[in-house]
Amino acid sequence: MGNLIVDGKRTDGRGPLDLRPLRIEVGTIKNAAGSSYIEHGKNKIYVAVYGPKDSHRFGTSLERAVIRCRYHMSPFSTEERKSPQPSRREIEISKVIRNALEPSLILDEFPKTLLDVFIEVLQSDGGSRSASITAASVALADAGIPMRDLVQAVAVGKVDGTLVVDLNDKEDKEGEVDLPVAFMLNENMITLLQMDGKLTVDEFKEAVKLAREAAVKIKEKQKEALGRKYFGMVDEK
Amino acid sequence: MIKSVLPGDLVAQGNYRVYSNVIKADSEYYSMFVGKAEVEDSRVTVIRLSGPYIPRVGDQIIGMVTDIQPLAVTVDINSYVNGYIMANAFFKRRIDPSKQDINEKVRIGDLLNVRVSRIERGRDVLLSLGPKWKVSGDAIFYISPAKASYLLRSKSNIINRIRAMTGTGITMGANGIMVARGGKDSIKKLNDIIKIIESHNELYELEGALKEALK
Amino acid sequence: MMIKKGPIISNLRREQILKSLSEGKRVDGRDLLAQRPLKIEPGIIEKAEGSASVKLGDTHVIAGVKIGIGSPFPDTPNEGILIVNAEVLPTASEFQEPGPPDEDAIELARVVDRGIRESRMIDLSKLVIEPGKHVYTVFVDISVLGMDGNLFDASSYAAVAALLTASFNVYRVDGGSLVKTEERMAMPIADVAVSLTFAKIGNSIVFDPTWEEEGVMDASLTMAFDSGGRLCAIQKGGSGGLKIDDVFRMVDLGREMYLDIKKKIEEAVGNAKPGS
Repeated sequence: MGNLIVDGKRTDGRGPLDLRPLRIEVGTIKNAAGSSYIEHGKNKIYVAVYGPKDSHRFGTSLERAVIRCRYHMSPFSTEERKSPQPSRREIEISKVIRNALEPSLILDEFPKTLLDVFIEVLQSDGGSRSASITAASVALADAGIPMRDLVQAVAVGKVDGTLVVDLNDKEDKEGEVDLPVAFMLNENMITLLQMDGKLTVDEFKEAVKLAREAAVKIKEKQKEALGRKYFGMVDEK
Repeated sequence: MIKSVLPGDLVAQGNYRVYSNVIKADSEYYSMFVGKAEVEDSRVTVIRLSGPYIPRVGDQIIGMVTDIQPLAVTVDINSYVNGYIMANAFFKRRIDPSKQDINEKVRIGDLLNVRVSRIERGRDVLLSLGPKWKVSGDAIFYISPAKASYLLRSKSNIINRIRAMTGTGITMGANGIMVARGGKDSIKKLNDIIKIIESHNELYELEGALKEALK
Repeated sequence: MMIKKGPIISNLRREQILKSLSEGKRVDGRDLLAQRPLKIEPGIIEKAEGSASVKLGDTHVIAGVKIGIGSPFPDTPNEGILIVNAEVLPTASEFQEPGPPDEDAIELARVVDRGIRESRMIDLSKLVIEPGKHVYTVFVDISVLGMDGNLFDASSYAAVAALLTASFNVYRVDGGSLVKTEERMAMPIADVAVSLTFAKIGNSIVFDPTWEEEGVMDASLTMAFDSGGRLCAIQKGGSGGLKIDDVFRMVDLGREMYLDIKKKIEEAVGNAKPGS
């Protein structure tokens, strides 16, 4: 401990409020209704959206499309090889990601249908659930799913007593706090909020404000990525 | 006024009588889609640039038979609902399932030219057969439903011009399925045209690009 | 949305495919024996010991190599262990449900495994830390992200490229316990497995079938060659049959074509060559 921030620089050279490099591509999986790819720090994540599709199976609703979300990590995505079977962690993350995206979607146009969001983490770094949410929202927009706003997420933490934005792997594992937050900025709403660690109420409020500022920057990246696919010439493949 | 918008973008402010594909919050209208926003005196709308085919009554579409049951035929219409056709639509009179067999008229895998006749929430879509319901052709092409809708509504009748310049007969379904009739070279020309259409998302550039290619 | 891509191919499309083949071309414009554009990118997962992304047309596969430590099999105390797994991810197509590997994914993993194992591509005897007790386990995990047919070849190229460029920390026994050192070793490569898949459609033999072509074919034949042009794995795929002459013809074609494919793989990985 005590060496995660030295002279205001974090383990990867960033200042406390700096985001890691972030790159988003839209339309990466041809078969999907919508898709995206994100590199955020060392996270490398693909998202594919399928649907809405006719579904006469379990859990369909007469009122609206039912959204199913799966967050899954490839066996080679982590330091130690991970078994391909979904772990409890992946199952919980799948659920909170679904709960982060659902408030933004307008699903009553498609009753008795299923909307699938498949998230594949090929390489994981700190903040993979946040990066997944950011990418999934873009994939849903690519798929033409009606939505109120794009959703974006970032993990804020505390290392060596300082609040920092966009945790990397080391900070995630060795820091004092891990606080991922997702936003729908137009309506000033939070759709994902989780925490590991301890904060005073004032620190918590400050952390959420810092996360919101980061979300504004991340939303710009989402919009640029969609703009590149839809409002510019598509490059020769 | 036309501008490019993304979900959550503010499209217009004020009071508009007619609005679609936007969310109204007091007197502000936000886009629900990636698309082109059109704002006129009393109307604000966003034209979607992606998304599934949304059936509307009256649409002429091309579907594929995926199941044949005694009283109805299931048709895949490239959407989030299936279509179905009542068996007696294939015969000129009321049918007796023990005497008439729809399999004589149509097989699984056949493509049909049909009209969307009735839509009910949460139900498969009822389709009707027109006089030329049997589809035959040399090639099938798939266009995103958003683009198909744009092509069919275009005031300058792009599809007719594509027909003329490629020498193909074209049946364009509003659901993005296109069947073409023509020789090898004509079909190849059409294939190139389709590639241009699919790679252009600036719809207003599309006309120009096609004009160039069709010269 | 089966009309575009699905288990049922429209009769019109089926006729279009057959007619095109009889005229010597495929519906995507390719010659009968032409491969789709192939892009192999090794090293894309930096945290893994080895990795490669392969795009074969719209089929997209990523293979990752991870190293573990284990005990050797009792009958091979002086060999490391190779385990190949494959998952067709639900991102790959509308008809791919999430869940444990089904028979297709298991067949895929086992066929890729056979190509690598029987070509003796990895020198397993160089993966021993303490004979009879501790060996390296090489996990090759294949994730199919996008599906447009010929998963066998794409997955094999990805696994091979990942292995050719893999390197990892050396473990030693120090005073009775295993210690991970800072020293690195490259995957001990002795050969290269090259996979080729052909399909019989109507009267034509095609190379590198798309998903659609797999849907109308009689059957397919996947084969793997070692660098000396010897067959080290072969698998007939699909529910139809192949005439004996067709099998011989496909194997002859494979023998003619495998060196070009091998070259593409080697160019993509740079200097990795067979030989320890």
